[in-house]
Amino acid sequence: MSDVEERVKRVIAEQFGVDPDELREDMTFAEDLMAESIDIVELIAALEEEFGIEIPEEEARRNRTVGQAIEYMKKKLGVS
Amino acid sequence: MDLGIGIDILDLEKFRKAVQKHGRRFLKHILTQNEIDYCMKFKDPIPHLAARFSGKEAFIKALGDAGDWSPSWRGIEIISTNGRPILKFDVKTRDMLERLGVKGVDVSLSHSGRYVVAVAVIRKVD
Repeated sequence: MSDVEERVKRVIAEQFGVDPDELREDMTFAEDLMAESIDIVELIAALEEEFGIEIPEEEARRNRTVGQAIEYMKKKLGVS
Repeated sequence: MDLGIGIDILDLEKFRKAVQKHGRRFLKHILTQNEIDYCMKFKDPIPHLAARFSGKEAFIKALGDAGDWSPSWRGIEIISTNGRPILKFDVKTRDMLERLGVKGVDVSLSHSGRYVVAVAVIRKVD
């Protein structure tokens, strides 16, 4: 697991109160993690704090699954 | 004329904790600077800030499926005129709403105890 992937999973796990090892890439925020909109805003803010970057909410909200969020952050940070 | 309706409920204490934890970094994603400045004038700005976010969520639900497009929270602004909330939109959002045939929008906000609720109604032509 890459450093970015591990950090993104840790932030997601903290936000939704789950163990990072329980997160699967196909899990959806809306159904599997029961995310409300406010959770998504908090997650965006927490990822910004973790990585020290700005994340446009219009872009971030297109990520429906944990895997999509990881890939989005990797692309955003310029790592493969 | 078609009608779309959307409702939202938000836990004020959850919202308060998010603001305490992330501050303006959280607020800037969901509210315009005008909205933040207006709400910060109140002794406890949290119910006012939360109600605006809830109103935007109700509006987005009332809009329903808009294809690949979803309005940005910051492209929507809720201002108070004579105590009545009015929805305003930035140019990009207004253009998209026109393309979707939206002719009018209304929103109502309320709070009691630890919850805020919002209802939005959209009138549109096919």
